[in-house]
Amino acid sequence: VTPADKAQLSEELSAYLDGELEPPRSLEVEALLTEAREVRDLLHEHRRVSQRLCALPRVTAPIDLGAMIHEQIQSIPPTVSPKRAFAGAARIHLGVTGAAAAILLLAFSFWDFEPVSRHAAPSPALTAADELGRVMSETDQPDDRQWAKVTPEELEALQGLGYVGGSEDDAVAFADVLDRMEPVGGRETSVVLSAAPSVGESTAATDQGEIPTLIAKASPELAGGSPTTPGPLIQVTVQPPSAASFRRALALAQTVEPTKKEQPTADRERRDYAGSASPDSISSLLRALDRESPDGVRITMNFALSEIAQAREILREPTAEPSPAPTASERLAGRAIRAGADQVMDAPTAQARKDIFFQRGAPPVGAGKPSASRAPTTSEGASVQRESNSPVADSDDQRHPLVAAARQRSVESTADNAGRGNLSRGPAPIVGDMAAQAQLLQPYVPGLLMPWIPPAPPALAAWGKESISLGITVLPPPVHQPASSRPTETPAKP
Amino acid sequence: MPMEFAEKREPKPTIGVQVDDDSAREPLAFDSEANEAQLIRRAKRGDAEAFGQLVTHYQDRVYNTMYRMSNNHADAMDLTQTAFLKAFQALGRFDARAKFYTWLFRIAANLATSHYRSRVRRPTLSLHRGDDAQDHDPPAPQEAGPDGRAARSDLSQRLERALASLPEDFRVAVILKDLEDLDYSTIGEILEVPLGTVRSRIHRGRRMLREILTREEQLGDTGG
Repeated sequence: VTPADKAQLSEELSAYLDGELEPPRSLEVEALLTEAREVRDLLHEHRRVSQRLCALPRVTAPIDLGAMIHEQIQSIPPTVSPKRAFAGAARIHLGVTGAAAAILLLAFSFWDFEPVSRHAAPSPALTAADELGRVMSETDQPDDRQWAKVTPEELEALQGLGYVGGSEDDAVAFADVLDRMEPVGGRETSVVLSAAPSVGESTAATDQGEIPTLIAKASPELAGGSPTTPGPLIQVTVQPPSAASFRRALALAQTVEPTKKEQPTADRERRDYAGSASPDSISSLLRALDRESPDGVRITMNFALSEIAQAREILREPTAEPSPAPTASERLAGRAIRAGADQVMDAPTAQARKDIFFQRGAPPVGAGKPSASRAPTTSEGASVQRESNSPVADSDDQRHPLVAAARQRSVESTADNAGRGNLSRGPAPIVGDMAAQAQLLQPYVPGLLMPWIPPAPPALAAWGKESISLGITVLPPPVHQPASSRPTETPAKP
Repeated sequence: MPMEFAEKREPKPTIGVQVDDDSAREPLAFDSEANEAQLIRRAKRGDAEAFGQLVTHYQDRVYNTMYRMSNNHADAMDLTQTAFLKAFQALGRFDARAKFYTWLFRIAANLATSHYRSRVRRPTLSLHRGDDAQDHDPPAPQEAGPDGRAARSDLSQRLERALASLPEDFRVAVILKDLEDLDYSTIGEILEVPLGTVRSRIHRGRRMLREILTREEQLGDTGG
């Protein structure tokens, strides 16, 4: 009898003790028990431990636990809290379909939903997946055609901030690039796994190998104000991004079961997001993502302009002036982001992309491709991350006060989270006003403004959102470009 | 302050911890699965009272598991609260075909595991010296005499320490099996692992416990 056999037998005895051994083997084990004292002794040992555990006194909950839970549940905002109103306004469509392509979205992760408990008692943070589930269950605006209300100008700005399509190869290549990137100043970069506009279209396009065409087609439709399909609205973001996690997410997304559009059902929950994917599929996807990504999965939501405007209304201080309409320069910001994206994606090598991405020192607005002399070395890029977590000042702080400020906030945030017993997974987010974060992004994206982010609202605290992080990802092709003239080059795989 | 959850329970003489007796193990007024399903439907619509009944029904089991996972009443309290809050907030995603307690335990087990890993990464120290010892010592059962209580309490404490020293994957599997008496299939659903993994984890967890206890006994015999 080898040690391996003994170990196997020991495990089988443990299962036998629990009545969980398959019948044929169970009979064999019983025979062994009759024959061999050693086997009986082993079973006895297992039983002894098990019985001791069973004999441990059961601990019951404190008498006030139920009341405390009830109290906390009551404190969860009812129907029209800002948070819910904001979330409820989001048209939530998980457009990942059975055959959906992965499309990388260039985006700000506008509002990164990572709810943190706001109760006094230290408690683990809720996951974004839960938040999404909650939002999904509460969404009460099944009509998701508001995209049609977006003006061409707004659309242009949104596209700049928003998404540009790419093929699956693009996506994976990009994920490979991201693999080599370090987070900047405490922020994390997002890879967004997204969807085609509709189940039908994505399926057809996939069948025909025309995913890029499909995406290029989607935006003009939206601009025309008579969309036949809703735009891709929700993206599953895997953070920290890696090629492996992206591939897993992609594989998972492809298993999501689509449901028929406008499927008649009496179940309101289903009706709310019928037409995208079934609730079970979404739950399954989220669970799997959560499991597959031990460092955390975040859900990033992108919103239509009308919703962003609504969010601004909600988040605005009561005494503040109404938010002005986006200015021309704000609209230009989107283009600026794309310019930054182009810089990265046009770089000949992965290392060059990384260098550009991490370049520090604000380049002039409208600057072209960065020169080699401006691109920092790999070690410099890595040092940004170290700085953001290190309380030790160095000369970089002098040159880049914004980076130093970000670092300081990151340190404070970490201390704050530790003090609260915040068990949120992943690096501590920068807690602070978004305007400052927007400024911080400027060195990395020439000419960047932050048009759609409301100014540092204290009201955030009121709806329990203690962290807001911004992510930026980059993608190559312009949306308006027809598929035929779309650049065909795929980013070089590192 | 709403107290309807607590009113159904007898006042307890100790703070935060009770040794279960037979009456405490009896299910509360919870008529049937149909009743539970109805409560869940109501809770999904935001009915906090309905959810409160679910809390009342399951809180002891969840708390006991959380306590055995954390070996700490404060953490068990926080984890239990958070598990129920998460469950409440995520009820919209609960599949009515699934078992509620399996789903609830999955939330709780994930929380406990995350919590444990977080503590490993970021160990904390109590500001109140000596509180920990008190915190980790549930009162001895009342039914034994003084000597018996002492002996049993000592054994329990050693076992609790040994349990607490197990890697969390093994610990939670052993707890769900030997303390919660769940079958392998249910444990697999809760932990979202295959049956073979459940079997292996339970076995290895028990084996580790046996080795730890044996080592302690040998040290005790030699005066170590």
